[in-house]
Amino acid sequence: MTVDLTAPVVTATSTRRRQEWPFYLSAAVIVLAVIAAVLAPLVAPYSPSQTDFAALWQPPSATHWLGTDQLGRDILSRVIHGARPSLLGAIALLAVATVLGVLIGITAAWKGGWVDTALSRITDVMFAFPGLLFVVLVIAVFDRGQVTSVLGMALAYAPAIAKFTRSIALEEMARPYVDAYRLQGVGGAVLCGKYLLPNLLPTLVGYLVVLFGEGLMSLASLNFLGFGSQPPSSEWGLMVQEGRTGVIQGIVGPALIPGLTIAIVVVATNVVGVRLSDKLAVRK
Amino acid sequence: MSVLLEIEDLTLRVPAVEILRGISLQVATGETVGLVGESGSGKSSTARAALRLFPDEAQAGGRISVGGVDVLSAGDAAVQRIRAHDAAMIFQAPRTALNPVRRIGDSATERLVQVHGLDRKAARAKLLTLFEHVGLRDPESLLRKYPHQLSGGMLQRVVIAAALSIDPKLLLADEATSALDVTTQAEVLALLKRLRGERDLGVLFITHDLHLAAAYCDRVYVMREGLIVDHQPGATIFENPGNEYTRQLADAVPTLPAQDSTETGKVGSR
Amino acid sequence: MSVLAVDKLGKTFPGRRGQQPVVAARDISFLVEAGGSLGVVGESGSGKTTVARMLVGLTSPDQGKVMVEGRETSKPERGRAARLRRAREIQMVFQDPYTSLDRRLSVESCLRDVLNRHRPELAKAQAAAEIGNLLDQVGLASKLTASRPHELSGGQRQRVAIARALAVRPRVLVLDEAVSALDVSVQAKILTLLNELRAALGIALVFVSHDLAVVGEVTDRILVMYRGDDVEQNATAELLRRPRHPYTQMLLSSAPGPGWQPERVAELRAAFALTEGRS
Repeated sequence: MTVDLTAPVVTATSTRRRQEWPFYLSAAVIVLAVIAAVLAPLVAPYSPSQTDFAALWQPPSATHWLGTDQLGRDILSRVIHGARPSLLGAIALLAVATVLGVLIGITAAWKGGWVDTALSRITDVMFAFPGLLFVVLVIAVFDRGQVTSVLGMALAYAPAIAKFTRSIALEEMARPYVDAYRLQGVGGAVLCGKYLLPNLLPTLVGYLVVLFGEGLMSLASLNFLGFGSQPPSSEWGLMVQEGRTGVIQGIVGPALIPGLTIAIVVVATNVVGVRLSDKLAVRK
Repeated sequence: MSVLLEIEDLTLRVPAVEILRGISLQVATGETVGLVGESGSGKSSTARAALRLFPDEAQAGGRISVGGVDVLSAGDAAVQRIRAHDAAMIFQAPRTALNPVRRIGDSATERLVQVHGLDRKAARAKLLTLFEHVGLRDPESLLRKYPHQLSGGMLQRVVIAAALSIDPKLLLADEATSALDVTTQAEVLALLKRLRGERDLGVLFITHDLHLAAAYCDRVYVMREGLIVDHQPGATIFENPGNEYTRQLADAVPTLPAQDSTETGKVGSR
Repeated sequence: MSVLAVDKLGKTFPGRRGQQPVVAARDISFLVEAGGSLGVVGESGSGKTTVARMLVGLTSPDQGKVMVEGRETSKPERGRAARLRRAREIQMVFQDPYTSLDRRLSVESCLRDVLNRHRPELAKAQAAAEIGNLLDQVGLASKLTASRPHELSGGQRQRVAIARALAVRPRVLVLDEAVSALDVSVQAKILTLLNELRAALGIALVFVSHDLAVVGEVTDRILVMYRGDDVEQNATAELLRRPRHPYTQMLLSSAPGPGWQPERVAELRAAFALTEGRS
């Protein structure tokens, strides 16, 4: 949008009637995914590892709503059970990345000077390095598996969070209440942890929800490549990988369904995250 | 002298809040009219209403006429015409009126190009003349600069030049000099006064500063809580304020003691 | 002995990208007694805010020093005890009432937070009583204690900011354009409050503002700054009535009042700029 010199930007909030349904739909998707993750054994019709060699590569039917895979396992049940490792992986990844990123970002903003320069250089270099390549390196040095892939991915995500935290912390520090705390004799660590950080959280949360979707996607790609979770896990990325063999035979369901699930959850978290950050920013 | 802006018994309410409760005022050609009040008095809402700039959910009553057009009942096209040709608004913070990432020249000519249909070259030429006219030095290089490279006083001159570029008859100045230093404020006001004389502009001058309005405006309206509580010639408003509130406002502003006249005389001879 | 002694304070900011360095303050010296009040006046860019920030230690001076009751405050303190002691020497109130309070804290928690830090010896009930006292002192209704900043008007917020500074019981209070963003009627009340406080508590005030008339109301001495220089310093009444420096004279004649003419001020300014060697 361009700014008009002679007419003010007035009724920006009142005339822009935002469509609400994508937000509610996305929120519903997330709630559903969480329910699946928590209550999988109760809501899934079959066990995720129950094989049926009489029913391989079945198309959707009344007994198997979404069909079966190469071992005759029920795809719907596997997708539901896959919610737990998929979501938990992304949560763990984000938790580690957030702790690291926020620590680096706030320290850089608060200390300024050479500390800021050094930390910013390091994060810039890591930021420029492709995340997936970085994790593959980490896995090559250590060992494949879910823990390594999550921790490696967390290292890859931390720089973005650090950059974001640094910029919003600098903005917040320009507000004189921060100086007021300083003048009361509050030390740097306490000021950052007890006063600055809680004021950053609303902005940070929206950003992290958006990142959650990205993290889920990255972990799924790692698993697809075989670097992360190993069979018989029904983590979604791994399911896509295992379903791949069916695609050659013209059976797309086993690969497509977990793939679509990932896509839907990623889009949903994105919509919710953007909306959340808008809302929280407005309240500011 | 003809009436440019005429507001009669204007009321404005947004759900649950009555912003204006029956405002009547007039601005004629060649006249500077002050509208004074504290925050929340409704002075800015009055000016915005003159260009029908209020939220969708607001309900307006009464009558507003700008150059003979009934603003409240006219169609969108007619109101657009008023905003594009007849009346221009200048705001307190020139920095927020200009897009920080665009060059001054692009922001300031946009309206001429898009609404008035001038080509870029003609629009730039017109703006250059106006820049010189408002006392901006080296206008050519100014067009290529970004807002952050200019001081507040210069930026307000740019905004005034851009406002004048549409050749308006009515100028709505909403706290246009409040963010400036007193000396810069005086410079900008001297400029506005000169332009008013040259172009026979009508100016609605909105300010919180009663002393400034009294010294600068031909007539002054005082607003409080959505009502006009006083209306006096600027020159005599302190001698016989028509309302206790005007007196309170006047008393609330600290004034400077009279200076030793010989000293002031010396400055004058510099 | 003066509570606040400022000696030859100087600060130069390096120029940005090929521009000249900016001298924000040069040889600024003044004294303020207990209960006294000094105004620092200047236009934007005069360096007055830089001086205010150097007084409280938010900006470190290149030259000179600031002493409060004989102790230097213009250097950063190390260690919690030293920082708290510094806080009790000098406090500051900022210009923008909308961003100078922590938006998460209610009036009460904001003040309690300060009391917990600076007067931990107070029991809970005593602290509550002290909060009542502070609100009383700054003229805030006690029903507002649970309000958060966004529920308060600009004037109310500024009163909270003053109460927050007073809760520390400082010897010196620096106010940087503390009433500039307020409506005139609110401004008048805050100015009265400041005069009462310095009389009652013996606090020394440094009142920084661009508005000579406002400064005239709350100070007994004024320092006029122009481009980092102290161009004139005198007793308030004397300076306002018989300004000696042409810059002060120009500033005084710029304020709208009887006989004020913008063209005249613009001429004066142009003439002044010429004598200053500006093009």
